[in-house]
Amino acid sequence: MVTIRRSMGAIALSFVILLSLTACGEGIDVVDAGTYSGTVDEAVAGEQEIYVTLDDGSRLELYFTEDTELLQEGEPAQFSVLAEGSTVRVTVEREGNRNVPTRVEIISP
Amino acid sequence: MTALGAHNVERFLAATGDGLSSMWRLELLHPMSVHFPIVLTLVGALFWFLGTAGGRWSRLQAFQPTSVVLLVLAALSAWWAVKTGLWADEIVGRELFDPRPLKDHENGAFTLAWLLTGGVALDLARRASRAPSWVRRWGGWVVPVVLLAACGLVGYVAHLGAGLVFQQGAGVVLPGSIN
Repeated sequence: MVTIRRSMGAIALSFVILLSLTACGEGIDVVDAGTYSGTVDEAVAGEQEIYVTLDDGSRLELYFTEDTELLQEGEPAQFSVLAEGSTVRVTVEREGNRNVPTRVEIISP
Repeated sequence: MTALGAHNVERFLAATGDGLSSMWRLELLHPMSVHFPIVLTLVGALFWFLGTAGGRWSRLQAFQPTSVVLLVLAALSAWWAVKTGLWADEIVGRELFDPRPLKDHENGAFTLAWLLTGGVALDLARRASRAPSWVRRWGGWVVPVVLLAACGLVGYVAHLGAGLVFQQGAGVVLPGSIN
């Protein structure tokens, strides 16, 4: 009886741990088309990709395309200027359930 | 008499006028790799629990050494699956209709790899002849909990991965769309 009770306890604990683990790591969100302000969490130069946490807490994954404009003080900028902590204003479109950046303005690098 | 499948081949060639796309694509290493940690984790955990049986089932303790080997391989293959998944992400990540399940899939896979690594390390530590008594005592409780959680997590991660392929066509190339 004690063994059964302990086994049930272990299963219940595993279930609780499992639920906690599924929430591990930072997810990403999708927003409607528009212009948003936020901070760059991560810039992946190899994939021309940035993660931006918006002021409302949403986190976007943005892959640059050939049409994406990257500007700093109104002038075209290189992707390498972007770094963790850069504040940006992004204009995004929504394609399906993903956001595509059309314009990224670097407010402070 | 028409050979079995010949009708489909004719339809395929008529539709594409082309051959099949290459199977030698980097992103296809991932679906080939992921089935190892799935099976090794589930079977390794099953053997682990069978190996702890006592009483009249004590003969099943012969499963213990096998479970150790399977779980070590599960942890190693989980990290290999994570690596191939990151390669696949670089190729298919920007094409998905909805990238959110991909991110959850990756986060879950990382967590699973760490969970398996920690569980296996603890299991090996508690079996060591010079292991402190508290490691043996707590390991006997923590390892099964970790294994149960890992089995659940492997199902969750696999479910998300399957959704990426079967609902969003990640890594899928339509016949004739590339040479």
